[in-house]
This record gives sequence, C-alpha cells and structure tokens, in this order.
Amino acid sequence: MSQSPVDDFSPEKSLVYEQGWKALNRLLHEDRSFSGHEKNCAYLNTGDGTFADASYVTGLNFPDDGRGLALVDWDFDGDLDFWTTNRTAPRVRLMKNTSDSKAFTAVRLEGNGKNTNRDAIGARLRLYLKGESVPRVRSLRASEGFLSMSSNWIHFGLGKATAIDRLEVDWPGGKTETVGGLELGAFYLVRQGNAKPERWTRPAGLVPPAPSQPELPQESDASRAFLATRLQCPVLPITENGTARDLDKELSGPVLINLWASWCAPCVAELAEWSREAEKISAAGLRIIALNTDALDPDTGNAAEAVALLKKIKFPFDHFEAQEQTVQNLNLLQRAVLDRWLPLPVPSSFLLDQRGYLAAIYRGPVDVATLIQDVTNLNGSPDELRVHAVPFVGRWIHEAPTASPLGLATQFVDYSQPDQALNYLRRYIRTGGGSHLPESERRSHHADILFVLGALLEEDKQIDAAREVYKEAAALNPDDLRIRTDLSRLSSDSGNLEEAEKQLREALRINPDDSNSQRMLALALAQQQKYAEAVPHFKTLVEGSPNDDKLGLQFATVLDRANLPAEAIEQYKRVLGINPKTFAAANGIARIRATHPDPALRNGQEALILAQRLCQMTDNKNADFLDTLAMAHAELGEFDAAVIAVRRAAVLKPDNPALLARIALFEAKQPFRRATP
Amino acid sequence: MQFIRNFLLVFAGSALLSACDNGALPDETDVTGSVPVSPVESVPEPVAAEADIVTAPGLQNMELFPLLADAYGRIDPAKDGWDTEAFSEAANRQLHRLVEHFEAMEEELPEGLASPQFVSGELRPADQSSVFDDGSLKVTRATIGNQTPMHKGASGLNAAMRSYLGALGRDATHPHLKLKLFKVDANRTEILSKATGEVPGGRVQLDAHWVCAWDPSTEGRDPLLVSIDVLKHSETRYHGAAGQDSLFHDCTEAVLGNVPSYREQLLHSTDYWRLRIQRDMGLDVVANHGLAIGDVNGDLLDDLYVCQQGGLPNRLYIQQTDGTLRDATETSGTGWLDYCASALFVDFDNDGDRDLAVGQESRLLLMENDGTGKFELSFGISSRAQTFSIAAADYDGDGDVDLFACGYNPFGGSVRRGAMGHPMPYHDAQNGGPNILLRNDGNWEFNDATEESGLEQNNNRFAFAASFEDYDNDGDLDLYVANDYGRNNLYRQDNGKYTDVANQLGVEDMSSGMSVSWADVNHDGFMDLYVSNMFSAAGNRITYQRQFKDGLNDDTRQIFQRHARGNSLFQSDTKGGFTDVSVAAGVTMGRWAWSSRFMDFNNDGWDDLVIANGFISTEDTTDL
Repeated sequence: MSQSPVDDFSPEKSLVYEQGWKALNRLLHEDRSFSGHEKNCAYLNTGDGTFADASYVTGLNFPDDGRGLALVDWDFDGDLDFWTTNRTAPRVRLMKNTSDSKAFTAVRLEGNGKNTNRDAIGARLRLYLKGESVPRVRSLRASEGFLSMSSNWIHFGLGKATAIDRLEVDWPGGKTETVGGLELGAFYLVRQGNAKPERWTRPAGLVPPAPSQPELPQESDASRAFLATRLQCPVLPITENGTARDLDKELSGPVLINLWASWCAPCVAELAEWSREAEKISAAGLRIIALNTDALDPDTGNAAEAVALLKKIKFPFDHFEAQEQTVQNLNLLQRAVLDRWLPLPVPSSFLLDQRGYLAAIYRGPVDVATLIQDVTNLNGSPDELRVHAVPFVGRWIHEAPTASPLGLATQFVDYSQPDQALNYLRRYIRTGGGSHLPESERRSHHADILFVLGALLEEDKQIDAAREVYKEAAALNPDDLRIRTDLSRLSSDSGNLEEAEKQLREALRINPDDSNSQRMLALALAQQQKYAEAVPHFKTLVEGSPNDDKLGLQFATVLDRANLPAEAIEQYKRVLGINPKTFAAANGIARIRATHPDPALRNGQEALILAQRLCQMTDNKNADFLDTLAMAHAELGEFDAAVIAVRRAAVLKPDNPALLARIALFEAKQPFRRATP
Repeated sequence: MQFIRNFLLVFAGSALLSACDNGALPDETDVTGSVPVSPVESVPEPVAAEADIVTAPGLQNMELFPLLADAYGRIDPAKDGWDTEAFSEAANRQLHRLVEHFEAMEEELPEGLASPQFVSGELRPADQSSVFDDGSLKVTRATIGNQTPMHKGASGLNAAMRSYLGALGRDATHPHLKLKLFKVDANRTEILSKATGEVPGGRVQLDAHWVCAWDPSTEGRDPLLVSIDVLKHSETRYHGAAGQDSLFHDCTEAVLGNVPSYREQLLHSTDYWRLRIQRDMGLDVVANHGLAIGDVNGDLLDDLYVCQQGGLPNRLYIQQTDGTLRDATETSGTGWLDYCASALFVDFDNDGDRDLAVGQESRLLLMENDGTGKFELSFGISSRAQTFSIAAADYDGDGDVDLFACGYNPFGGSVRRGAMGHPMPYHDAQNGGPNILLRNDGNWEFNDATEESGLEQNNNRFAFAASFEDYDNDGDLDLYVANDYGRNNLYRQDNGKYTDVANQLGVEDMSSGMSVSWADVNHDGFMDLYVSNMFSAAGNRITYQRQFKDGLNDDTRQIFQRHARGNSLFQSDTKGGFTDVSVAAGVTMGRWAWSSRFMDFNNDGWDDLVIANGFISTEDTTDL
C-alpha cells in the first residue's frame, strides 16, 4: 500500500504499484507468512461502554487463519457455541461454551409464509424482563460476519434476571405481536398469529461433546497432482554424449520425464523400481526419459557416476543430462499449474500425454501402480478428466476451463526470459494449441495469446512483426480493447495518426466508458488538427476528471484552436482555479484578449496585467510571455513598449520569423491580430 | 514499460486478497445444467520418501526481471530505506530477548538489554478497580497516576518485570509474555504487552499499553531500554465453577471425529491441497470459504454446511440426536466442487423447509429442499463479479426472501474491455466488481433488482460482507456493505428505495472492510455496528512517519493511518446517526480480522465480541 498512487495515475506510477502487487502476490504463492500466526480475539462487554480483552481467558486465542464464524447453541445447554472455518487445518472447529451462567431463553420463529416469510428473517424481537422497562433487542439475520450464517434460534442471555414479562415480535411484512408465558432456561417455538409459545425440549440422547484437540495427520513431502486442464510442456534442452539438443518430438507421450541425481537416495530407489517393473510400464504404453542433474552442481554431483549407476541398475529407458534451462523450464511449468510455488525437488516426474501436454506432476517419488493408473486415465474430455483430478466425489456446475499458455509465459518473463516465453507461445500456436475449442472461444483464446506475443515482440524491438501480430489478434477478436489500444499506440508512434484514430474509435465502440481510450482519441484528433472533433471527447474527459489541471489545459488549448475563444477563456480560468501556477492558461487568456479579431473579446488591459505578471514570474526569460506582453501593449496602442518587449523575446529566440515580423508590425504602429479559420 | 503493462493487463485480477489468480476469472457461465456426479475413485498418495526430498540443482541462477526484483525488495520496509523500521526491528530483537529471558525463568537479566540509566515505576499499577465480575469472569482496570520511579538501572528492569509478571499469580503455569511494538517516534516506541498464565481452574491475562524509551543503537549494539511508562493496564481473570480451565473448549473431534470426510478433507490445510489439486480447479492461497448453520431436515437440530475451494466438495453434515454429525454431502446433492465462498439456509419458497443458497466464484445457485435435506438446483445466475458474502432478507416486504451478493473482483472478461486489475487507488478503490440484489418473484424466479432498488449507487467497490438490519428503527431493512480498499456503504431504505448514507452518517469506515455485525451493545434499543478491518503494527509504525508518502496532505495521510487502526464500533445515537466509539471502547485490535461479530458468550445480556483472524500462516518464520 505504501506504493499506491494517491493522485498520480500515470502508467509509470501505476506500474510500480502493479509490480508491488505482483511481488507480494508471488511471495504468497511461495509460502511466505503474511500476518500469520495471529491469535483469534474475544472482547468482553463490561456494560460501561467499554470492552475488556478476554482472548486468552476464553480460550479463543488459537492461531488458526480464521475466516467464517457462526453462532449456535449446538448442545442446547443454554449458552452460545460457535463454528469457525479456517484456511489452515483443521478447516472447521466447534468451540463449545462452558459458561456457568445458564440464564437464557431461546426462541425459534415461524412466519405464516404469506405476508411474512416462513423463517421470519428480518424479525425484530424485544424481550421485556420483569421489572425492567428497557427491552433486550435482537433481530433475526441471514448472514452476518464474513461468509457466515448463524442458527435461526434466537438466544437471549438474561444475566441476573429472575423472570420474563413478555416478548414482542415485529414480524417482517406483518404486525407486532406479544408473546407471554416465557420462562428462563427454556427453548420455545413462536408461531405468527399465536400468542402462546410452544415449549420445546431437545430429543433425548445427546452425548455432551467432550473437549479434545483435533489430531492433524502427518503430511508427506511427496505429492501428486493429476491434471484435467493441460498445458503444453515447453521444449526441454538436454545434453546427449556431450552434444546439446532439444527434446521436442520426443515429448509426445505417454512419456514420463524424470529429474534425478545420483546422490539422491529416493531418486535411485525409484529408478531401480522402474527398471525392475520395466515390462509392466512398457505394456501400459509408457516411456520414461530420465534427466540427470549431477552436472549442474559439481559440488554434490558426478555425471559419470550417474551413468554408471544407471548401467548397474540396468535402467532400460532413455536417459540424458539435464541443462540448467531444463530444470528451470520444468520448475516454471509446475508453477504455472499449481497454486503453491515450492522449488522443484529431486526426484520429480512429469507425465505427458500424447500431445506432449502435462497430465500429472509428481513431486517426490512415485510408484509404478500410481503411474499405470494415471496412464490408464490419461485421455478424455476436460470434464471427464476432472473426475480423476479431484480427490473426492462431487458435482461441478461450470465446465472445465482451458489451460492458458500465458501462465507459463508470465513465469518466463518474470525470470527475465522473454525469449523463452516468445518461443513457447509461438510453438503453442504452430502446433495447434487450443484447436479443440469451439470456433468463437478459440478465436478469443488465440487473440489473447497473440496479444501477449505482440507485446513480447515489441519488447524485443520487432515493431513491425508486433504490429502484424496485433492486427491478426484484432481480426480474431475485434472486441478486445487492449489490442486496439496497442495498435493505436504503435500507429501513433510511427506517425500514422489516422490509423491511430481508427483504432481508438474501435476501442470506444468496445467500451464507451474507457477514459484512457477517450483521452488518447482526443489527443490523436488534436494532433491531426481536428480540433472541433476533439472538443466533445475532451468535454467528457474533463467532466470525469474535474480536478485534472493538465487535462483541462489541453481542453482549453483545443477550444482555443477550434476557434471557440469564449469557451477557451472559461476553460483556461477553470484550470487556473485548480492550479494557479498554470502559466500556459494565463498566457492563453492574455493572447485571446490581446489579439482576437473580434473586438468584443479583446481586453488590452486584462491582457497586459496577465502578461506583466507572467513575465515578472519568469524573470523576463520566457520569449512567449514577452511576446504576449508585446501584443498586449500593441493592443493598448503602446507601440514603443511593444517593440521593446518583442525585441527582448527575439533575443531569447533569435531568427524566429514570427517575432521578426511582429517587430516590423509594431514599429509600423499596427496591433497584432491572430488569424482565424 | 509498455510491455509490462500489457502483460499485467492480461493477468489482471488481484490475487492477493481475492480468491482468483487463475489467469483470469471465468466469464459469465451458463448454470442451467449441471455436470453429473463423479464416480468414486481411490486416489493414490505417493509413497513418502525415507529421506527428505530436496531442491533440484539448476535453480540457483534464476534471476527475477529487474522491476519485479526491485518490487520484492521494497516489500520489506526495513530494507526499503525506512530508518524507523530498522530501529523497530532492533528494538523488537531486544524485546524478544527480554521475553525469552522470562520464559526461560532465568534469574539474571542478560547483559545489554537495559541502560544503566533505566528507570520505571511499578509496571502493575497498584490503583486498580473492579469493572466487571459475574462470578466467572472478572476484570480490573488501573487508574494511571504519577508513576513513582522505583526500579532503577539494569537490574531495575529485571525487578520491574518480575513484579509485573507476579500479577499472574504465584501458582500460574504456562506463563507467556508477548510484547508488540506498534508505534515508533524517534527513540520512543509504543508497545502492547500481553501476559498470560493458567491458574488452577482458570486463566488470567494482563493487557497493557506501554511507552518505552530507548538509548539508540550504536555500532554493534542494539538499543537499550531507558524507561517504561504505563499508559493502560487491565487484568482479566476466568474461573469456571466446574473447574474448567477456559470458557470455550474445542469439541470438533467429538462431533466429527468419526466422519471420514472430516479426517480426509477437513483436517488438511489449504496449503496441502494447493500441491495436490491444480489451480485451474479453483484453489487459492487466501481460502475465503465460509459456512452456514441451519436445520435442513425439520428436526429443529441445526446442521452444518461447509464451503470449500475448487476441487474439494462443499460438505453438508446433519446433526443426529446424540449431537454428532453424519456426512450427507452425496445424498443431499450439495457437494459442489466449484470454488465456493458462502452459503445460506433460507426458506425461499415458503414451504416450511430451509433451501440452500450457494455463492460461488461468479455464480449464485439456489437449491430447493424437499423437506428431508435433499436438494435440487432450482435457480442459477451469474453474479456479475467474484462473489463473497451473500445475505438474505425480504427487503421489499412481499413475504418472500430476496438475496444480495457481494461483488469483489469484476469478471475476468472485463480486462478485455480495459478494466484495471488491481484496486485503484488502494485507499479508495472504485474499480471493484458490482454487488447484485435478486428479487424473489416466486416459483423460483429471481430477477436482478440492483438498479431499481437504488443499490447501484456506489456499486463499484471490493465488497466482502453485507448484513441487513433496521438501524434507524423505522420498520424497514437497511443494508450495510463492508468493502475492502476504502469506503463502506450504508444503504438506508425509504419506501423500498435505497440510498447510500454512509458518508453522511460517518460510517464509511475507510479501511479494509471484511465483515459486518449488528447488536444493541449499550441497551438503548438501537442496533450498533461492528466492522472488521486490519490492525497492522507495521502499518501503524509506517504511516505516522513523515517519510510515508512525503508531501501527502494530512487528510490523505490520516486515511492511510486509519487503514492500520483495525476494527470499528459505531454506536447508534438513537436519532438515526452513529458515533465512532472504537478507540474508547477498546475494540480496534482484531489483527487481520475476518469474521468479527457480536456474541453474548457469558449470558449476561450484554453482547461481547469474537473475532476470527489471521491472513496467511506458514512455516516461514519471517512474517511479511
């Protein structure tokens, strides 16, 4: 938050803020604690307008990452218990209240289901105690706290009360009714239209819940994730007999890519098991490619020993030496798929399907039975595959999404490898990525990818290629504003303002409220001297950002150039109201007042005061302001003063033909009149 | 620069405080049909290695892209040019040493903690009065007067602390001391001290607010304590009549212990599943998943519905007469595997049983109960944004219950229309996803009434929670909405139309709103309002420094300071307005607070507060 822009929303400022978010976000993926180990709190209302910290004495100071919290007298023992949900394990807790005070009464309401809803949600209850005139007030609400709904039983704690006088119920959509005959320490059903409550007793058989701490299971470091939505595995560079090459076609599976090291006992044990079970594995149609990492860390590894070891265990599958990039690619691939980003361990294995797309990740060792089961389940539609990708039975409402290659591309970019990102996306498109999608989805999916590809090309200074890619993207998805924005920017950079304007008009067609496009269009029109056309766009922008002095100045200048002097003056004045140091606005007014052909708009005195002030504040070092001063003097018929001023301007800006012409004009005792279209 | 901006736009959608970092949120989804229930499958868990698995070689040379690396660096204020943070860190090290000393029960204070000039009065003020006593819970508070300097020199600190901790009682076991440094001004720091201990049949806690002065660090030496002044001191004791050690006890195992899904699913943390289910199924690190309690089978015993992330089914547990739960997820048809934030049990069709509303990632599902706890999908709609809390009430008084859903991030599809990804600006974001109000028109027909009801006003924030209540006692239901990154809404109802009066009534509570609770805390017949936010010690330290956004005007600076203050209590003035009594009532410190709510836990008729908090706890010891 310390990096959030407060009033400067320029792309540069925003970028720093966005990068801050991104970094923070990455840390959370990377298992960093953030306001972690905080203990839950309880405050006791001491009845005098203040509360006392009771977190510890109530026993609520356990350190779960709590989320939801809902109240209920679970065991009907006359005090409120509660359930919580947590981010951490255990994901739910029942906290039982052991209050010594059982001074309470609790009611459940039933509306008539006609003018009042059955649950009587929204009912207001006022409980009057004997001898008290101020009632205890409760309401029945569906939803309170965060993501939580509590019990519909309405619980009144009664403290030292000895008897209840009456209960008033404001039925939502109905009348207020009075209920009598309530006693302390009892549960009641209260029905709309019935003044007599029904006393209710919990069915016999309750076993009072005994306290104990949940026993959390021991968790293994090794994990398996079977994937329903699949990403293409990037090309994996390897070294074979001292020669570097890429694994590309070989990645069409079913194939298991395994990363191992000779000093890693679980790695070796796993490879030995696969060697023993080679027949079974091959019969299942699975190939294995073992990639050895020994050479990447000479302190611990020994590549020659690794080869010898494979011989010794008679490893029957392909094996190569991994390069640094190999491990990095696989590491980033797992990050693109899993939400939790832990460094890739050895051993790790990646199961690829027939298309070379990632079907399962095994961090740590994996046994043959698991491998064979996963190969058996390898193919199917994403909805079918989802059955195997989740650990429990259940139902889905939404269809399985399509995995986006952009996730991995982002990972490459974050690690300063835009070329890898570029190659990855190009290969995805080349090899028919996303071709299974229905036409319209495929088009926008490809447009999203081309949009990023264009950005990568731009970063690589391949501007023409980038423009072509953006154009292709816009053809695939004509309704993506981001693509239009980039096309307009490239056009504008290369001086093709007409094309920029066209793209920005498209952008505004897509989202008429997008102020960035509106602003860029307004500027593009102004640059093309289409001032009159620019005016309505600026007008909208200024209405949206009434405190933006820079924008206001642009608007005023455009109004001035569109020959709308009265409106221009009004705008210049508004800008000076926001920021009195906007010299250009004061100068704009002075120029109109000194030089406009319409005598009704001219006011030499006002122009002179403004120009003198401007020159004074800039120490007579600003040629434009001196020029304005000269024009103002001329307008007032003070031609000698005008000549002196314009000569001083000409000293600062020598050989300026306009200034030289004005010297001659004023020497001829003629005022200056601006040209109007 | 442009390139990175583009890239960020593609991956817009703030994952940090949101539920969705899956590249993009899904576009509007058709919810007319549902995918059938999956067949059972046993999932093999890989055999654990005997040796620990270790990081693969080849990753040591990965380098972050410079702008991002720079952003990483700036996350830690101590490394981002904040001298006061460097000082706080050093002072904190000293406070930790002090705590360790007392936890280890050492006689002698270690060298280099206190200055020879150290001086303090009694840290446990003698002048205390009882402010609460219900027989079990007792509270005393100190009146702070002039503090006679009686503990002097390095050994004085030892004596002062011993005398202070002596208040826990001679027979106290498991004594624990926590000192939290939350404000710094030159060489003075403000500290919250919490000392706790168990005593036979109960517990005791001492809560204090101290100002500590320090002799600043020199080369190779951390700062030395020069003085401690007590600003506030209170003692809270609990003694259960039956000898129980604390008011609340964890009884989860007793009611769920024999349920397989509890052991196999709910006893594993979110982080466990984040390595075992792919992110595209709908998992994230924040794990904002709630619960609903309600009777679904008409026996008047409450049942439990637990919301879960994508890939893990929501669970419906039915209470049996012995008080234990049985898993009815599969038979009830409610085991949604999609990311689910929230749920409600409400009788939407007025047939006498409670139906189920489910708030998913960007959808609302309504399921009709057949009266026995079996549910069928009756209505579904895209909620226009990422859904968090949902709330129900008959807002239009036509006899059936309507549904309101909080919108947080806008749809992923909107980035293609130029939407910004992250809340902008942080302290007053106006680019959040819209809330939606669904009017119940009977026969399971619900229609979007957001606009016609007036709730479209200021409907552009990051909404986390909402609750209906008649705050002005005029007989209709008003609505408070707690928003992250800035202002909250209080929609007052007048003749069926809502108007946001939060600003007018001073209850915008500009901060990080995460929950809403109502109760008449002071027995004046009007509902008061408790809103949860984030108390941040680091935020309190930084935002009071001149260096924090130097040149910022004082109003905006106060907004940032307010962001770190914590929870808020707004007391009704009984005339339709509110007074912010948070600080005077002593209820701001809820830490990173999610569900914070009123609850009369000691049955005395005065509503107390319980707060579920904590953002991300991991094994990592250096908390961000």
